[in-house]
Amino acid sequence: MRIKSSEVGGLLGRADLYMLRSVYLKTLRDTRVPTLAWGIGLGALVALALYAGWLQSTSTEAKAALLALAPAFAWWADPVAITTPGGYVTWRIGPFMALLPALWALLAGSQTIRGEEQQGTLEMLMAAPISRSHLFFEKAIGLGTALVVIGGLISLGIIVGGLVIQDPFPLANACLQGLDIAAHAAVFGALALFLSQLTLERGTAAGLAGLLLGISFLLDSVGRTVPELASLRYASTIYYFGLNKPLLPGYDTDLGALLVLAGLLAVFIIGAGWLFVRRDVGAPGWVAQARTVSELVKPAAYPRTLPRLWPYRSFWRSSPYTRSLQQTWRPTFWWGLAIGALAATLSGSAGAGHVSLVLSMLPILFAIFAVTQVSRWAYSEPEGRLELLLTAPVERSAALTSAFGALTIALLLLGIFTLAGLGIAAQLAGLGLPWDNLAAAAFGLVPATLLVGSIGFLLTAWLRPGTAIGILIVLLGASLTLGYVGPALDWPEFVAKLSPVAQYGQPLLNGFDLTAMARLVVLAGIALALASFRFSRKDIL
Amino acid sequence: MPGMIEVEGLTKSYGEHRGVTDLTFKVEPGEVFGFLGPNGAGKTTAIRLLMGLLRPNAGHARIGSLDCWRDSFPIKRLIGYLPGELELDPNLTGGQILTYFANLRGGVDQTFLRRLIEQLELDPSRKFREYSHGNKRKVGLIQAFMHRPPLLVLDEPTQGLDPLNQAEFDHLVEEVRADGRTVFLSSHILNEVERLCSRVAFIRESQLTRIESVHALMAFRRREMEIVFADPVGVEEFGALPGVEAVRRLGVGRLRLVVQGDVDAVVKRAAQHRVLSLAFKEPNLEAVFLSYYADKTTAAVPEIQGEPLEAFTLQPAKPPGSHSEADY
Repeated sequence: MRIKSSEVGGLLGRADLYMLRSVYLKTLRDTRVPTLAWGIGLGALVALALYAGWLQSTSTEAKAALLALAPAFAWWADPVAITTPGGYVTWRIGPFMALLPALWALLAGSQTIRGEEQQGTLEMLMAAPISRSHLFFEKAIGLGTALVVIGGLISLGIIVGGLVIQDPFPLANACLQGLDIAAHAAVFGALALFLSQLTLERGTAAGLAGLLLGISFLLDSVGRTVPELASLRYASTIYYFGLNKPLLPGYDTDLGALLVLAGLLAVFIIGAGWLFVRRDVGAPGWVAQARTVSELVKPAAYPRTLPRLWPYRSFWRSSPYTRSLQQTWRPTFWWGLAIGALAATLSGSAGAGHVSLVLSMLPILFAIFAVTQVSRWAYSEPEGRLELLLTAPVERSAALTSAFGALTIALLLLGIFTLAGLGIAAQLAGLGLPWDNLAAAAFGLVPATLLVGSIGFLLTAWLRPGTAIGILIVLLGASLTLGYVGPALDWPEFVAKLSPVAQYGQPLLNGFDLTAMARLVVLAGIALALASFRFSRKDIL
Repeated sequence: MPGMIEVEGLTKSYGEHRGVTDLTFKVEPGEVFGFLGPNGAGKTTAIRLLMGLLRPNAGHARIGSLDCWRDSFPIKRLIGYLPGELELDPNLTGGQILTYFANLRGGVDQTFLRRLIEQLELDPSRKFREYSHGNKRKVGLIQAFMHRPPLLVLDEPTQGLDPLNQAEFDHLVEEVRADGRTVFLSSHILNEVERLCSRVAFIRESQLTRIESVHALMAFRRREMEIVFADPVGVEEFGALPGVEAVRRLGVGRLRLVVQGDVDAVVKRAAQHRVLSLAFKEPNLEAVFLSYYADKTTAAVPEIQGEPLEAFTLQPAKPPGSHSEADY
């Protein structure tokens, strides 16, 4: 008798039986922990920020101070009605609400198909009687559902925060804010999913999508603060995200902005799905499309690699360290080029007054880069690369420190690109900024970012990749937020100093703060030593 | 009558890396078909083309008269698949994995599933990442067999299994054969192919070199014979006989011969003397396989019964009577 599958040997609980019924439900099951963690974390953050905003609004002096501070932070977000709790939240943590869920979404989007392909788990799934398009859309909708849940929990945080400060927000407005956040994050999740159909590695797609997220933020920020460059904002997704301000009284819903986000989402999803159903498993999608055009002429072939820029291939394989460098140099080059070019363009065109604006954004960009590199290391275990490395006569600590060493070199290179961009722009624009201060501005971020990286390595030595990266992003978001919300809550100064932004200080004015840098390097060293200690004792599964 | 698998001119290229070139073969319903070849010959590429994971550059593959690329969705209802490198969600237990795949297939017979679990002695309560290689393989085997598919495509199915579980696998394949279902089995374990398969295809350097029934292959084999005569017998008396490839004297009246094909002439000549003992060492398919692949030079193909295919590599043929003791 053929009966419907229910369980195997009476071992499964009711939830498992339900959540393993389809690819969609399985995707939800796989993302349930990060979804709830992110949703609850961000919801709590919004509630906290509402409370901070309410505290500010109760004091005339605090309101005046806030209004005096607003112009200096115009690059960060629109300073509209900032003396109201809703306006304060929109201004202070609005960009975080755009950036952090989008960062998680792009990591999840790149993992969804290409990550599983790299791990080898997709092949068995594709042997099941599910069409490729069905499989793709079930997974995509699963991710979309996770983002809607995150948005819903943020809405819940808004409602709770409103009740706490006895100034409740209408349910529709709270929901619209959550929807806006989910829609923006979904665009980057879909973008990573699309890019991952064109790349052979999940990490490459995540890195590119992260870079575009950073550029999107920069374009919006510069367009807002530099009137001559205002049109740049139209190319930024964060601009469309920010057009809706449901927590501000009197702001109508901007359906057009939501439609732009929905349109981008649809384009990326349809493009990714179109590529996925046509390509070979294990190959980038552009090969399949190139073949479609060329196969009438001759049987096509996979191009083995892009033209080699570095002819000494054996160099890369001479040690775990050089191998790590090889894996890092390509994203480092593109990130560095983009950061340097943006720094040059914006500083040169905007003048000396706005160089500090560019510098204020660098901690975020450097930190996102560090997260993508930690993610690459973390997923080397489930993807089997780590096991292979450790079968060679390589100390575990050497494997870990090699990866960290490559990150250090990569950050120094980013510093060089940044310095080149700033320096060239300053010279061309005749800004007269001293080179040593520019160097301090460009390289001052390296220690703080190394600390972010070492904490990431420490987390991956204990936790599964998804959990570790999720916690790292939350920690990063929280520490960045501290720099802005912390002072309003009258927290001690040392708490605010936990933020990389605060640690970065004002290098353009003050030059190198060697004490602060040494402190960060020591902390990073301690975290790395702990990571190495733990990693040496970890089971490689 | 259409075959269960029909492959015609199937070609897949990876640029500098070979894939498969111009494969043509047919697997009949109810057949257990072996697919043999050295590492990198193109076995896995051929299987991934059958599974619709790769799109061919030329030619086509059909399963149950359906195109493997265009109709990959309905085809998968017909197939139970075990890849050579099995990876499944490391955070799920064996039981959860089997439940998931059973659900994706619209349900399976739970009694049969439990029987498979017991037969292969799998503990379904452990997480996949905690399983040994052999136990991971068992999960893969169970999910391939559990829905009783008309066609099983198995890539190196018993690698990592202990001998007891290999025997259980043999029983499973025997059951499938008895049901009239089809198995496409890629393997390096030649004894396994010899035991289970009715026909075998050899692939080398991306091309199919021969398809033959295992029975015929075994007929095309080199046997070692050892004959002890009561009286001294000359080597030259046997060296020129048809099929004799080498003769060596081991002692007075004791000869060892290598004979390809039937031994009729040797036995008849030996019968002219007083024979004290006659012993054969039967070669297995492995010896046949090695004779196909050991020598890199292409030589003339001995005429044996079977489907005409391209020339394949074999030890160079020697003219009759040219053997000497030094050859052996």
